[in-house]
Amino acid sequence: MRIEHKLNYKYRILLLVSLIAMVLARPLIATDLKYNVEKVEHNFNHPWSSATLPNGDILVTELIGKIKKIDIKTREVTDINGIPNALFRGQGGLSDIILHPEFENNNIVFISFSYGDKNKNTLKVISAELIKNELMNKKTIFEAAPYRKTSNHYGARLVFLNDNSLIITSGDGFNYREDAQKLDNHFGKIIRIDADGSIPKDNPYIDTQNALPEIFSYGHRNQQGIAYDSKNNILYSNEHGPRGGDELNLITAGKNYGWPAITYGIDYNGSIISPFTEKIGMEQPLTYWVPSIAPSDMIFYDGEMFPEYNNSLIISSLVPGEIRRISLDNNTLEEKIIFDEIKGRIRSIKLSTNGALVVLSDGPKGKAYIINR
Amino acid sequence: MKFLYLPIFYVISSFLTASLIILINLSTNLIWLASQGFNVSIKMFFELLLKDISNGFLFLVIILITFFLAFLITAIVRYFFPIKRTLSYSISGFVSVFVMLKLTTLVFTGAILIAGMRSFLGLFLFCVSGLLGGYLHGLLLNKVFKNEN
Repeated sequence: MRIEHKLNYKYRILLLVSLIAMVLARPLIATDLKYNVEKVEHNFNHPWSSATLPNGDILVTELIGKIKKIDIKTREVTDINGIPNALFRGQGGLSDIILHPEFENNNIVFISFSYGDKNKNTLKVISAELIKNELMNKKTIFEAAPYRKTSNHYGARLVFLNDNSLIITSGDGFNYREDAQKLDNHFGKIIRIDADGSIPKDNPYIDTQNALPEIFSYGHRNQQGIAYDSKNNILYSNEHGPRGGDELNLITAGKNYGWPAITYGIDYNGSIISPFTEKIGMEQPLTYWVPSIAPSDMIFYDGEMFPEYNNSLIISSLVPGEIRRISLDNNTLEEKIIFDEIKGRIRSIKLSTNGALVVLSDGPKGKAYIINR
Repeated sequence: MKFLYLPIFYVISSFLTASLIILINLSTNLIWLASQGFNVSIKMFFELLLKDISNGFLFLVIILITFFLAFLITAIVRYFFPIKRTLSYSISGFVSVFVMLKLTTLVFTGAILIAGMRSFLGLFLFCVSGLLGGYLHGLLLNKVFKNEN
């Protein structure tokens, strides 16, 4: 009994020291997690995406067909001129914008948008030179085929790979979901082209008869998030499912991601789209969400400002409106809601040049938020 | 007292049309899946049909609203023009389902929310479901109101 008593005291002292250490360490941990969320005082009309210029200024696309520039020093918002005519209808409009990997030398940006009229339209991607707030020398580098009668599910996200080839997400057009399983069209595909619109020689279906050579992967629904881990050359995509069944996928060249043959969701009207969730030859998602979170955009975080988020995917979602971090460490996915002070439907999240995050909320009076330290 | 039958007939005919639409919708999905190499059994078909009908509340509500307006208009028309009940309610069911389906497509900027109606045949069969619902409504009314307009 006596010995036990002595041991108990030892443990008590150890416990006390641990508690003191924890209390002392807490402010340090808290400092690490501190960040600022700054709201830019401007109403953006259906903001959809953003891109940060090398000087820190931020370009914001508005679905209605405009591009605005936020001056990072003064927070003044100005219009960019020479914007292509976009069809603003349903889910369509002026969509994504990204800079050429060598933007500092060539001033080239890439813009995706829906083009045409309500009875015949498509997803289009152009390149253009951004010179003094004006888009010049516009050139169409991709046009999804065939045209559609709907104004939904365009995909329309863009990202560059290490080899400077451009990845474009092309949605299933809502009414054309079965075409996502065919290789003769661009519905429900991930497209890979070079920056000048030519087709890379190592695309998976370049030599396949009756397959469009731009196709990189197929069997997608409405992929509104595409993110690239450039260090490990891994491409991720998220897509809206129907009612439930939103997916996060690891994208590999030539693979079939199953929509609409396999899905974890059901139709909006409550009926079954497919009772199957797996099939040989069709890829499984890394994770999926039932009920839906409506994933709207995604980045792979490799910036310096938030080192604790390195090797994570950060996903914005429209329902209920959150930013989620998915940690990819140790081959397990750990999901967490972050920056929960930003309320409402979140349309986009992008990484700026200094590692800060640019977040856009959805709607006719959408806001831009800059999250930094 | 006979008029108490009206809402019962109206619900029965709406339920018939909603169930037929669900059946056609499910069939088009499963036919396509079978064409893609999936093993779709008869047992699976009936299990899914029951599931879809039990989840088909939204369909039923939409058809109830559609038929309410359609049958009301038909009753007014029949007050002035003594057209046969089965014929008038059949036409009313067919046309109202067609109008409802087209309106939902317009509202959702071209997106067809009931996948089964994307083809002409699917759309036609949906309208025929409306026709059968209307016909049943007319037929049941005939049983109760034999010699009345």
